Amino acid sequence: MYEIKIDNLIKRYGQTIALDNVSLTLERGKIYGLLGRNGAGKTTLLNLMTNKIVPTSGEITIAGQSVEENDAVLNRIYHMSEETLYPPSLRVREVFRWTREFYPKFDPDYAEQLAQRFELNTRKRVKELSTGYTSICKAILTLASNAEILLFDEPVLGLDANHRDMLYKEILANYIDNPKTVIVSTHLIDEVADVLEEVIIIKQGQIILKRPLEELLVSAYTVSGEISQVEKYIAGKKCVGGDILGNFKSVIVFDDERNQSLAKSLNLELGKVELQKLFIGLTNA
Amino acid sequence: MILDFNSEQPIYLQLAEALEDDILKGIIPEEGQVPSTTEISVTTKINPATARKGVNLLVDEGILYKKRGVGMFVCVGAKEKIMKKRRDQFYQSFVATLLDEAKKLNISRQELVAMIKGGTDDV
Amino acid sequence: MKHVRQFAKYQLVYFKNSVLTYYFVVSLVALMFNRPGSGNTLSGSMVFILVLGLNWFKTSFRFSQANNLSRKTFYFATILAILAMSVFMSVVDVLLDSVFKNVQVGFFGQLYPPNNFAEILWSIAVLATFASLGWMINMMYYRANGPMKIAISFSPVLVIWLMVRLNDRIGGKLANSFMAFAIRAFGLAGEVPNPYAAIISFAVLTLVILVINGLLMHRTPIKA
Repeated sequence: MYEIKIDNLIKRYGQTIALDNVSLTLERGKIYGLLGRNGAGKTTLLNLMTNKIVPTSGEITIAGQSVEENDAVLNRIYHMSEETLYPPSLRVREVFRWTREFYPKFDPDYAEQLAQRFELNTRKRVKELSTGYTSICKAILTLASNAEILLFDEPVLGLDANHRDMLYKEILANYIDNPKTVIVSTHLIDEVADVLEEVIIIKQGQIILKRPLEELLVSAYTVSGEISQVEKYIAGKKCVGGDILGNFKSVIVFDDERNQSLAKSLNLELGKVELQKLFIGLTNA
Repeated sequence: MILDFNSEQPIYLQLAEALEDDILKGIIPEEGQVPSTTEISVTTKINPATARKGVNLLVDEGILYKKRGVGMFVCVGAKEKIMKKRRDQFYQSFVATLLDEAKKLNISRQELVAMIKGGTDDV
Repeated sequence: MKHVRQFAKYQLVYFKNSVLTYYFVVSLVALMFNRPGSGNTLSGSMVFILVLGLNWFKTSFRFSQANNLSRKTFYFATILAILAMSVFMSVVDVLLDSVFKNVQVGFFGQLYPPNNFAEILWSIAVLATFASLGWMINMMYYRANGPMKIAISFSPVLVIWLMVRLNDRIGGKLANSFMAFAIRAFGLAGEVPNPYAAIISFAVLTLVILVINGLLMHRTPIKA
């Protein structure tokens, strides 16, 4: 079937290593979250997947075929890139028209509908769009492309709360209607968390985690209470992150099992961990 | 249906409970149709796999059933089933916590009973 | 390859307005200043297509990447577009010349006996060369980083200066052999000037430039 396979990918820019031996297999038909801090390598990875830049070493294949200079395979992907690659002088509706030439499955009616819903004026030229509307334009193109693999790089950049809400719903509706592989790359984790099926966390060019979201959320929990008591509880356990306020400390513990009795004896509270807090804990230096 | 994304429980369990609540309150009658996983997913912005999991949980427990090509419906006797399940869980879900909190605040058994009596008068 | 054709079409449509504006202006100028021997349309077209070549790469390349087209596709689409454009402009030039009755002592007329067919081919070859040249210079600047860009800017001057010095050193032999070669290439050696030699020379030159462009395209990245 088709899966996206990334093998020992390294991308170096002079002395800097942007991606450090990344290997990943993305099964078909899921919504993945590619989460990482600014500069972690998310955009580099997506650009490599679409042949916009070339690896220093390693390979990316889709259904067994390399993406490098491969029109057939690349045509199955649509990439909402961070950079706006559309000709600034072209009107939005012209971009729609040309996209249809290169992506035969592009649905112009759907694109029009979305444009109306988001109140995007398709007569405007690309260069006249605000940051938010540029994102909306790119997102609409991605959704209407009907490609089997959709890559969204920071899809809600510049979008107001209403449009963010609408966009997540559209992505979901589109995904349900027409099962495909979706990768949402972002550092705005809170809102997107529940839309995701699987989470990939990238830190300084390395993949530190790839797990189904639910599994991830039950594999950790928070411990909070008086500092010395918390220290006793977490002794010997794997923890990340920690908030301290006066005598109060809260830590995230990585463990499947919660030690309720110990917590009770130490007068501590155990709680569920949120994806964003977990992410911060994992990606702080 | 209100989902609290900050709560303790996994989303799919919250979803199952929210649906059960709707059934208990009579918002969705027995033999009535439940919103599709698509509708639930898009409206609450949760991944469809999660939505499906919550719904399937209720199917497994005999609270919902699937009519091929039409959708999900509430089983006859679902209300009863839910009530029984909830009653069995009542102690763990509510009473244990109540007792704990009371202990924390040094509320005596008698004070507790008085509170409950006072509360039930309004019911 | 369907995409090659479609992207070539996109490029032609994208430049449609520039080309139309150019010919509109040219026609206006011809209407206002029509005197015999006022130069032919080809020289204008050469400059126009060179300038086009110099400005076009970045936007076009980025759009090809937005549609996930391979660099190969982009390369061949561009060649196709250059050819189509050259043919189109050559034909229009000839038409304009006859409409405005330019007493055509343009480049071709100055060098060769009148021959409409050869003249059109010649036009196409020359325009293709200039378009590819513009593309090449454009790409060299695109791929170069800061200091390299400056080096590229100075290199033509440097090369010419070097050749002049070298030429002086060897008593003018370099210039002589260069002139001899040029005369041959332009088909001006024999009794009757032969335009076809020039056509082939320009075609070969275009090919060489296009090969260089192919090399320059290899692994070329998206730049801000």
